Amino acid sequence: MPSSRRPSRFSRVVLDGPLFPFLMILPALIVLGLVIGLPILEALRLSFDTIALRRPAMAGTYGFHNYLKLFTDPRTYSALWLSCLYMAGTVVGSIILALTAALLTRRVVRFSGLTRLIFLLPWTVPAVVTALVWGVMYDGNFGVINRLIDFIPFIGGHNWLVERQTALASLIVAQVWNEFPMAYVFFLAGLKAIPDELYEAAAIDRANALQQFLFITLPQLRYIMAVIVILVMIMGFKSFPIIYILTGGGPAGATETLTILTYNTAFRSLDFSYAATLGILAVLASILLVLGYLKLLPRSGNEGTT
Amino acid sequence: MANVQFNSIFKRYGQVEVLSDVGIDIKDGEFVVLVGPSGCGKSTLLRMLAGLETVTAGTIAIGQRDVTHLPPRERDVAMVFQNYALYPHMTVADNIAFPLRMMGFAKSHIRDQVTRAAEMLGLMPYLARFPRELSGGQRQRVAMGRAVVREPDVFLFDEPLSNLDASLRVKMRGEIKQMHQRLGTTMIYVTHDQVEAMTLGDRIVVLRSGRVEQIGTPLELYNKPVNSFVAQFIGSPAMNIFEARPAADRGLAIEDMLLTDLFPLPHPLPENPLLVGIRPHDIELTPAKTSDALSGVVVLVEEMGNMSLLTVQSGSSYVQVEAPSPSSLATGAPVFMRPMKEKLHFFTE
Repeated sequence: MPSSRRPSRFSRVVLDGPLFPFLMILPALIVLGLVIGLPILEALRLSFDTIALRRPAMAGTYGFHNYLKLFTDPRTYSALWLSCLYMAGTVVGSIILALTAALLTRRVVRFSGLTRLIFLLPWTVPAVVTALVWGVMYDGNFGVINRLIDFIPFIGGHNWLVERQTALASLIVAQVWNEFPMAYVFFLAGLKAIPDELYEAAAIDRANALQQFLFITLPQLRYIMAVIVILVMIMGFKSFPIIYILTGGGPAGATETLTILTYNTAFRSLDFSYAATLGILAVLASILLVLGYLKLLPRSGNEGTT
Repeated sequence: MANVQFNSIFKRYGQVEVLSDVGIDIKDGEFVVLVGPSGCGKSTLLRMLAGLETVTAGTIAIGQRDVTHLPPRERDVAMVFQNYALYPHMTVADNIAFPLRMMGFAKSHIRDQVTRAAEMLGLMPYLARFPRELSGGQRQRVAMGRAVVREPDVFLFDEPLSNLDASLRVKMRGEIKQMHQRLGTTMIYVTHDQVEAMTLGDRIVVLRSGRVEQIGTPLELYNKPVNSFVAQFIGSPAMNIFEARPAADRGLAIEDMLLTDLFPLPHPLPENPLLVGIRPHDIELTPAKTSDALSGVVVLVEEMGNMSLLTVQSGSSYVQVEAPSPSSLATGAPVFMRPMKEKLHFFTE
């Protein structure tokens, strides 16, 4: 390369070296390390300590006792199971609701902004407000849901959030109502990306509406579907305000997911070190979900249009 | 196998009339090409036959069956799209098998049919591939395979070759023609390329602004165009058209020239406006001025190899003339052009 100036040592080592890309993301890494890395490390340290305000004298006793408790306490497994149920419920509910809404509004031309706005509104409602409104609706004595069910014969009302059988499902419904618009936006974009020609070709190839949905729409949405499943799972797993406000984990632990168990351990039982241990478990589970999401991302970029 | 009838078809989008009183009668087994400039309504007409567009007025019949208001799946037509419209998430084999699966055939029957179509189109090595892994020509073949496999009443082609490069287009054109000869099924083919129309069609329908200008065999359109639009659209290089008026002394006045000794001319001569057309290879260049020659100056020489195409300015109009190659005339040379009398075309529009 003809150059009037010899490259300086700085540019040889730093600018052209293999470490240059890492140098560029270093500032971001430092910030993330401070706000995320340090708390996680502190939680990790705490999880081996004994900071339980009901036994203050034990502070500073390090050991594996918290992890022993984690693996032996049936509440841990119950919480993990409830988290999984909650995730599964929100995923199924959100996808059915969002896909239906997207299919209904994809071809709307007139007032398209308005129809989309209607389906997006729940997303703009803060989770706390969602929880409070649904709490009133679910109320056994005054709630509108029981009032509506009165019109249906042979089905009685419930005290939705107080009965063990209905509490978790009731929470899932509120969560789905609040979060499905995100999936709706994804599906709508995905549907719009499917060329009309495919449907025309399928119609000429004698596919009926259901077959067009099964053989064109669903396969064309499969990457978006996978991404939505993971994202909704992550949101369901992290979900806190709706459960906390509506049931706080009750009745008798029937809705005590991992996040709620962690909170209750810290701020009701005041055992901060065991709560930190539960937090570590939640981090590990989240990492699994995020890994699944990352594995999907590059492939979704490969989706050819023809 | 079926004939196809368009009976005074109209198509309007709001106030815009896209097709106006189109009537075409297509015989069983015929290869008919719909041709015209872009926006003439040819694709719309084809899509109406497929059932992808609604009909504003008029009726469409396939094999005596009125299909005007039937959905596409009940019409038994197969269509090859301009952009192929292959199913991207299916392999070549699944793409070809798709219509058969929708028709509910047994798996073994489908496999046999797919193999047969793939062999015919040379797609056997690619059956397990996805459309994105194929070249344009191969995708085109898959689209044709998907159409062939179900043995429809009518094949529809919507500018199927326009996304291919020139040499591949000629090759695929030949394959489509051979396919028609082998299958003998009615085919309707839309293109804006008059060469494709001439080479493929048993008959050609020339459309302009939503109206049928002329229907006929390629040679009928070439030799007896009904108006100057068809005359200029069919044939390459295009026919020269002049405004003219009858003149004394058995002649015609074209531009500022007076051509004499042209008779016998067809009688009666059309009324005003009178347009005279002559194809570039029906003009002789003469070294000296004669009474039936136009004078002009060569402004452009294009060597084609087998001939040279001269553009000659005569008065305010430009005339294209075919001359032997290599051309002995250079730009700026004065020439005299004598149209062959029996090859003159007369139009009123």
